[in-house]
Amino acid sequence: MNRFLQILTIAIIITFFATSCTKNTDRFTPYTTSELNDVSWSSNGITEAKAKQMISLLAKPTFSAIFNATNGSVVDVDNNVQVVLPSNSYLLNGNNYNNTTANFSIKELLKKGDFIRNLASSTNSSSIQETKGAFLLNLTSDSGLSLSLTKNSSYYLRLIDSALSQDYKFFIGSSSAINEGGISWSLADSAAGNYMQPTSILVRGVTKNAYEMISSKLSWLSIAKPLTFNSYVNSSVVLPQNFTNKTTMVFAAFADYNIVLQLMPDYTSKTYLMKDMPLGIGVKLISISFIDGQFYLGKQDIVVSKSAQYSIIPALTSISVADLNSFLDGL
Amino acid sequence: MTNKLFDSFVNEKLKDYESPVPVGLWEKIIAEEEKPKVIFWWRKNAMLIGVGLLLFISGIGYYAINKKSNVELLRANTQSKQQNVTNIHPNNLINTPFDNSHSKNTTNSSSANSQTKINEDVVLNARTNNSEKEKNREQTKEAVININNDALNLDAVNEFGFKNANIGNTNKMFVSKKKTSKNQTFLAKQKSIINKFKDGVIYDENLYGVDLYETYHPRENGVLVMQESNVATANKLKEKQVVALRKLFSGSDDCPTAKGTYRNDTYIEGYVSPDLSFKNVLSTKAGNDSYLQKKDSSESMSLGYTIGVRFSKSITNNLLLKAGLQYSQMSEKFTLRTENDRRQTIVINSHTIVRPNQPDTTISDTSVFVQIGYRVRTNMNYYKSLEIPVILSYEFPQLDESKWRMALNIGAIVNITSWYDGKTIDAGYNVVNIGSKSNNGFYKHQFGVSLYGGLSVIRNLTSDLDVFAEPYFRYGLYNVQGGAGFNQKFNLAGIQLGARLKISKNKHL
Repeated sequence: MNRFLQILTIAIIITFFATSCTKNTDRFTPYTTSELNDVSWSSNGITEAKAKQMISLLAKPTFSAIFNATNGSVVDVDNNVQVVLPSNSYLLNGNNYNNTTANFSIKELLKKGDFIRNLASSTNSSSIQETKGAFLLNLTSDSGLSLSLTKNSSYYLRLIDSALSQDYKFFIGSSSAINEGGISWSLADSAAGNYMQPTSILVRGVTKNAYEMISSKLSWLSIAKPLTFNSYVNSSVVLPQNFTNKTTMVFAAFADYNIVLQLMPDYTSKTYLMKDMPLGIGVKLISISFIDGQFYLGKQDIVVSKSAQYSIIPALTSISVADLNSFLDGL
Repeated sequence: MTNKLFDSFVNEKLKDYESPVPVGLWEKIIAEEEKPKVIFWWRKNAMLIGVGLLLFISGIGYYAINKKSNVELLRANTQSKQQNVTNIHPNNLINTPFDNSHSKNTTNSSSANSQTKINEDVVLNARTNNSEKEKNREQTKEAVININNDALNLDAVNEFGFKNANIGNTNKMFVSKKKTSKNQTFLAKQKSIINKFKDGVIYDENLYGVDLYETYHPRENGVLVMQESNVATANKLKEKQVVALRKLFSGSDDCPTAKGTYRNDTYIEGYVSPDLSFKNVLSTKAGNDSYLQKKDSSESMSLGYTIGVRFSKSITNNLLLKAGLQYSQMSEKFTLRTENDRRQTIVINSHTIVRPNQPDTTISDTSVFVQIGYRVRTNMNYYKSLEIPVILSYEFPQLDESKWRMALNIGAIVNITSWYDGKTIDAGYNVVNIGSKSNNGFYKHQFGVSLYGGLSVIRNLTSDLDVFAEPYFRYGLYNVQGGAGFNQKFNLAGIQLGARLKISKNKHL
């Protein structure tokens, strides 16, 4: 074959190869820094920093006021709560706080959603109690530093209730690790100056019945009724791989009771344990995840049975804080 | 003196005389002025039209006269054909007849169309020898080449197409022709040697059409005599009128006759071209700059190709008109990186739960595992068109002894139909298909024309087959309308690689 024909043939072949050797590709590369892609569990669970971030994002505004520290003050927080602050009973870094004014704020957890918003349980898992509400007082100096009460000083917290019941007890909560329920509740010890009594108080000119809690500790206070059930079961809640104990907390909100129980994550099985759950009660399982700065909500209504497992499948799209709060308010 | 007095007298008498105006003169003048200007226009342009007609008629006349001259020449040649032997005999060179008998039959010719200008190195002497066989329409022709000793050496002889030649001890030259077919066209090299006789063309019908020399008889004195005996050739002699020496040796139809030949080549050309496309995107909607910027960054033109076939017909010796059908495919690489893309995978997880004082429990669940990341989609977009190229090509004259030619091509590419495959992004940055064969895709199909310009380099392989390479540029005159407020226009640059086959040849006038 002529040399030029050979060259022409080769050139044409090269042309076809150069213009035809193409391939369509669709390549996906996961972000290495994304929490959503991290399927590993941590033995420490969610970090305190992340928990505080979640709480601060979800928390509703707290009541705060300036009061006369020298003379003491009676503060009407709302139509249901009244706080009586003692006079000349405050310490700043172990020393008497002699300034006239100080700051007072109170956090109220009255509904199930309020507890979940604070990533807290209203009850211990070992002894189920239904709460009337939980409260936490915070006193600060006029410069914003924390104040504590002097020895033998007490403050009063009154929760108005038209139908007082002897079944309700006074519980004091101590802050525990966030992965351990956030608040560990125990019956108030009267010997330590913490007790509750029914009373009638005058609130804005109207006399009302109220539970009056007297405490010397600036910690969580709760009025709750211990409950007993016939039988209890253990089971587990599983979530998709994306939702790990580093990003997700799971709660069981009792349908017919004002009870919220945080389910403890089990690092070994990568599940959330429902321990000693009353058999036969209705529960809404709720998962709240905070992943890459976005909230994800999962929910599942169940009736506690002897089933070994329950599943929550959170929505794959994030939920806004407003929508999440709206959901929590509706619990 | 007397005349002056008479003149003064006449002047004195007639100095105040006014000649009366004839009746109706002013009306005629007015009527003349009021004639429409079109008459003036006609007068002015009539001259141009007249000149044009004159030129046209002159051209026709010139053509007719030339035609007549040819006829006369034909007749003259036909008459001269009655001569048995034509011997072109330069005055300053020796003419040696083949033998005595030939010499007797040989007469010198000084006919007007035997314009002989002899090469100094070579004396060409041709004659035709009719024998008794002429009655049977068979002729024997001889071409005698007088070699001035070494002036036309063996190499020169070989260049005439002789396979070999040697000079014997009697100073005879024995040659034989190369193994060529009867109608073989000599190679360019041989032609170039033949062209040495360009100015020594013998216009003699007796030698015309002789395209096969089977024997060549050397002359003792260095004159090479070529003989040919061919009945068919004899028949041709009656039909052909003009002889050229190049024709004598080349056997080709390329040589001009007395009037010359005109190029009547028709080629069929096939070609393939790698193309590089250039795209211009023009916004037709305010406020979509960021979208077009995103689109532009995600698309880049890559190598495409054109394949086609076309016919090429000579208009003149150097001009050719080309038209055909071609398929063009422009390629575009679409690369889009999208952030925060999610991929879902269904997974089955097993969990073994260990509780104190209880047997281990293994549970499993099926769930969807989601990953977030970036996604890079690479897609080849193809803009396919069926087109008609219409091209005017000017081929530069071929240099002697060269097999290369160059040609300048200009024309238009008419897009008949188009269809697109691939993906792009719409105004919402969603990946969409760019179109289908219908006109309801993201891009609208449009009929359009592109301007074409190219420069061909042609290499002659055989008398009928050429290969060529043609770098070219196409400038698109039409837009492809996009579905999100923009138009895009394509220009192409490429190099056509192809071959062309001659399917018809020159014709005599």
